[in-house]
Amino acid sequence: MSQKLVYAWVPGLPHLLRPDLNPSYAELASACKNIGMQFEKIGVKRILYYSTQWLSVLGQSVQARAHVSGVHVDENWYDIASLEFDFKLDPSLAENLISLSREDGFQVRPVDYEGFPVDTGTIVANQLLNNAGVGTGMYSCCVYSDYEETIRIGRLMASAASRLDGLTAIVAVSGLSGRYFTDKMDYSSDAIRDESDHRWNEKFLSAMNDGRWSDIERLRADYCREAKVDMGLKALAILKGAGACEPGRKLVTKAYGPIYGSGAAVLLGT
Amino acid sequence: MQAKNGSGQIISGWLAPHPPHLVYAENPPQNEPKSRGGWETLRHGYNACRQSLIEKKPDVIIVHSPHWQTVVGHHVLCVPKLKGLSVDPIFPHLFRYHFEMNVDCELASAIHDEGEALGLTMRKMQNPSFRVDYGTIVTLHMMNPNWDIPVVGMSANNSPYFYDDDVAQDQMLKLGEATRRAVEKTGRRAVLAASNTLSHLHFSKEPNPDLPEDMSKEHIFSQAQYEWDMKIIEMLKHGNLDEYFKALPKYMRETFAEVKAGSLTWMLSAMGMPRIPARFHAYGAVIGTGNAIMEWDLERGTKP
Repeated sequence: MSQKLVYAWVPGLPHLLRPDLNPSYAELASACKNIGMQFEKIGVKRILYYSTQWLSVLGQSVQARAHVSGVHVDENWYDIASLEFDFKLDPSLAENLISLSREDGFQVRPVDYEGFPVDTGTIVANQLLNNAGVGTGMYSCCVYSDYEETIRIGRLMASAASRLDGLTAIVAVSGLSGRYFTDKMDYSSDAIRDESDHRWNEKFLSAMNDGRWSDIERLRADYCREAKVDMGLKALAILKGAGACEPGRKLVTKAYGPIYGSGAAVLLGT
Repeated sequence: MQAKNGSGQIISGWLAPHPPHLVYAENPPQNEPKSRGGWETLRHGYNACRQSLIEKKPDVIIVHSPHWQTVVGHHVLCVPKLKGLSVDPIFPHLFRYHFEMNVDCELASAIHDEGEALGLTMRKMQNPSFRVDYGTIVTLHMMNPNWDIPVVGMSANNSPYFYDDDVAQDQMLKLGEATRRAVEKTGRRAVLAASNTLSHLHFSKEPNPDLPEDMSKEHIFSQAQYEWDMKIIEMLKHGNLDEYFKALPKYMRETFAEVKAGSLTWMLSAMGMPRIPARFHAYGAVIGTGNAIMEWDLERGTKP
């Protein structure tokens, strides 16, 4: 199954689209662009996004509109960028995601609405990764799906993609430590807010870089609690379910840095 | 609108919850999806608010919304006219609303400045492409579907959700004070709206995905949650704010009450913690959450 899949984990905040604000943002953005170029080089035919900023609460949601475009303004970072988006959906991928979700017992709602606000994370990731303009898929982050259930979703995402011809990139859009600065701050002085958060991020990244998946599982709960990790590591659950964390596989850090105090990393599956 | 220095006042405050189901059920022309009705008890409760606004003719409605969550401080809408299509990312099948609102930017700026003077981190949202959140829109629509009264929208700082229940509640007291000072200084006759539900544990699946307005499937999430809501309503009906604030931490913990977002604390603070009986207009469940519509009429005070 995984021969038809490649994996990445990227941050999804609009700061990455403003590399002029901080060298760290430029580094994170550059790493994303490099991954996008690799996707293009190896012939990735579609990108399936799971962003922890597209929330659902009553079951799961799957983007089902053939063409989604517009301008999105983030509710927090509205002064950094107005985000233009223009997504071409891979309809077969959406159909597979919906049917496999239902077969697995999930309540799933296809989303097919003019003006639907695609989330900041998916837009930012797509702008940096999808220069080739390949088809996309989007699966929501259900607040009430726990880690194990999210692994199941990752598994069905992999199945949905593997039924199609060619390579699919499964991309989790999410952060690491989630402790933001809560006051106004000059972007040029951005840093991981808490030294302890930084140590936790490094420890976790190191284990993912080495493919020490049993260590990851052992550390996971403590990391989430101590560093207030974005959405309880649902991003990891998705990638694990999709096959990125099998023995011999690794998630390799391409860039790491702060975004308004939180931790952000660009990781590529190998 | 010209400032009338020093003569402004807050004339009333409303606990005005924002489930998009209420707009969906009403079938206004602004909302694309159409329904067969539903949630009538709550919708009828809002009629009292609509009538009150017609009678009182306020200059502005100020709404604090838990669905505009901000990380860095407290934000105010500050674009003179905001217009667009607001599709709710959570309930897109129920809420695709064409909104158009006039923002009282002078008052918004005054709230911003007064907040800063009290030591709060404040920001003005001045991007004209901003999509106003559904909490703000639903509350304002249900209060005043004609949209003929200027508004100020305020964000909810997410610190209580991210850090701990009691974090930033003191900020809501200051934000309320800043709001009152700004209203007084700009000479506005203002109505406030705390756009939050009471208990907030809810279903995790749609009871009937083919008919969201299936009222045979609607009920409060749990009896414990219902009893908590009734206790809180009784406290507010008797103007017993001391008891209310004493109960608040446990209430938030046990029912995940949306008052945690600070909207009601902000409003009560802005009104000077009025120990007057709040008038109860309606209570009802929406996907299991508990919602009450209540009014603090500062002009009428304790009179029935």
